Amino acid sequence: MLNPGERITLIWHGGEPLLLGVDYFRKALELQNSLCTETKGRIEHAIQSNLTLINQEFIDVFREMGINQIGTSFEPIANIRGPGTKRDSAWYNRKFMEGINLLAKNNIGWGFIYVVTRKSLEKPVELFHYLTNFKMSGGFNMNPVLIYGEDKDNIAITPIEFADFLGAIFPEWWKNRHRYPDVNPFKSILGNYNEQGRNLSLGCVDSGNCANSHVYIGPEGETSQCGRAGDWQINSYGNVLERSLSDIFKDPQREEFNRRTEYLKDADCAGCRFWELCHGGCPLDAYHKHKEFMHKTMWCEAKHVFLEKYFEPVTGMTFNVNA
Amino acid sequence: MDHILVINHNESLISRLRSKALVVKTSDLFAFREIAHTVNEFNKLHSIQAVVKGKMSDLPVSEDWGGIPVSLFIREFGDIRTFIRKSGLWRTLPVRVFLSSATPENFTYLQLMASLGVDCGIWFEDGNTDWQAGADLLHYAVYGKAPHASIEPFVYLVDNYKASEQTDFSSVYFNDPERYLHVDDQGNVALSSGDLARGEFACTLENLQDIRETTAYQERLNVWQEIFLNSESCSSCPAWRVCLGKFSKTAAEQPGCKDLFSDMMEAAEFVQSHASERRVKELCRL
Repeated sequence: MLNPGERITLIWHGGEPLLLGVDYFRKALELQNSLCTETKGRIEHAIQSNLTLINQEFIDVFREMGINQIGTSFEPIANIRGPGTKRDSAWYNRKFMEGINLLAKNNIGWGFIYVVTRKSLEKPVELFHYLTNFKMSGGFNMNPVLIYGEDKDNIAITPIEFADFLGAIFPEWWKNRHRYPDVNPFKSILGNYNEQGRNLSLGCVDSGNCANSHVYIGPEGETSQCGRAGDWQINSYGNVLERSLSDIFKDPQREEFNRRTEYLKDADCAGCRFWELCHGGCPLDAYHKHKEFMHKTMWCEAKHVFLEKYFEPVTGMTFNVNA
Repeated sequence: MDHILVINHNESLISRLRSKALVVKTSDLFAFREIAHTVNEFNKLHSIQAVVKGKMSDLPVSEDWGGIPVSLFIREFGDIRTFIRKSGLWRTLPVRVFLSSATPENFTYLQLMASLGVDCGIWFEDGNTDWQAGADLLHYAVYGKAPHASIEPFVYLVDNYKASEQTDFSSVYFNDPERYLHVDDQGNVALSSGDLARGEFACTLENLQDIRETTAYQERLNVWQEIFLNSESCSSCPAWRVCLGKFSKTAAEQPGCKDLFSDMMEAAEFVQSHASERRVKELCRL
């Protein structure tokens, strides 16, 4: 109400948000419609789901919520993802296929993230073709697996391994990028190279300005900076049942993220020619390694190696904004 | 869009149908005129599908076939000189001749037929396909500068290829359930010629209008996902998007299909990227 130009996006994220049940979402929509009569037009919803529980009832209520695209993830390698200690990927992926077929029948779009694990490193190009065959329009993102605790399944990878994984795929993508236009991070990096520092399109991880744009709200109403901060129970901004969203967004703890961007420019990232592309990366990645925010991301090396060893030699392009 | 029905040459069945586009199967080369007459009375003949034995050069090609669309499938080519003598007549007819891929020499004969102006195509059959010969034929079909007739499935793929979609050339063989349905003499409807042969039916002619809602039809549209669920080698093939695993049974021993269909994609992209250039040339010719 105070800022009539602002819009808010509620990203339903888990775990698996569909475990909440369809009635939960119906109730949420009902509350939005009854309590936000003047602002509901500025509230958008998005959802991340593994799709194994999706059914027509969910789709009907999601459509009422204005959701016409669902974010998901997919893993073709056996026994990485699935229920039980043996990770029953056969069951999981069949349910996933049923899910995407139901979405297609309802004209609901979907995009996915592919999480790169140690097992992905064996055949990167084959994996790339599998994924581009499987999702021929709309593309996907490739992100490294992030392990918070003990790596029980031995799937963690190093930043260099992630860079080499992308680097093995990149020549094939570059040669045929008209065929696979929406594969990230390649597409976004290419777009930013083309812009050379102007009108960059950067997600929260690379933008350096996540401080005042996100808030995590947990199942009990507890808030934090983002989902990962919530998982780690750091940067608590209080409970949304006791504190207004406005106050939560003004929480002084957020200033540290702004200060970090200014600080890194002259510290860990001083002189880095890729500064405009990543701004030191995700503060939570830094926290994961150093238990404090005032460091660059532990994935910095992945970006450097990929850009300098693979992207620039293959494309012949150079990112010169700070050179 | 209404489906095109693929049926036997069965006048009783044809008489049950109205305003349908039909593909009529026959092995009788002397029945073409009669089929066209019978079908076009209340329906529309899309094509005759003639699977015939013998040698192509020896077929009793006739002016009587004029104006009748025919897809003719035959395994052997026969004698070149005999064919060349008849090629003038073949060229005038709306007939496409498919030669079996199981005979390696047929790739050469297909090029010969196309060079003489006879539309033709590869009839993929199980066996040792000479994929390199197939690739050579593709290059001739798409890049060849000398005037020649069309060669399928290359023309279909060039015309229909979209990088962001699966391109299924089964239509060339009347076997794509999104466009063609196969009906037996009793009026049972199958989604492919293989289903028809196995007696696996999705519906009957009486409820044909609801076929898209049937479980069998819906499952068929998503059957491609099985290759991915089972992580078959075709799922990670760069050419999968234009062959859709059609040669999965032989791909392990004869992986040349990958190169042929990879070349096919490049050819389609080349032609499409030069489409505006082609249009200008056509306009100039006018």
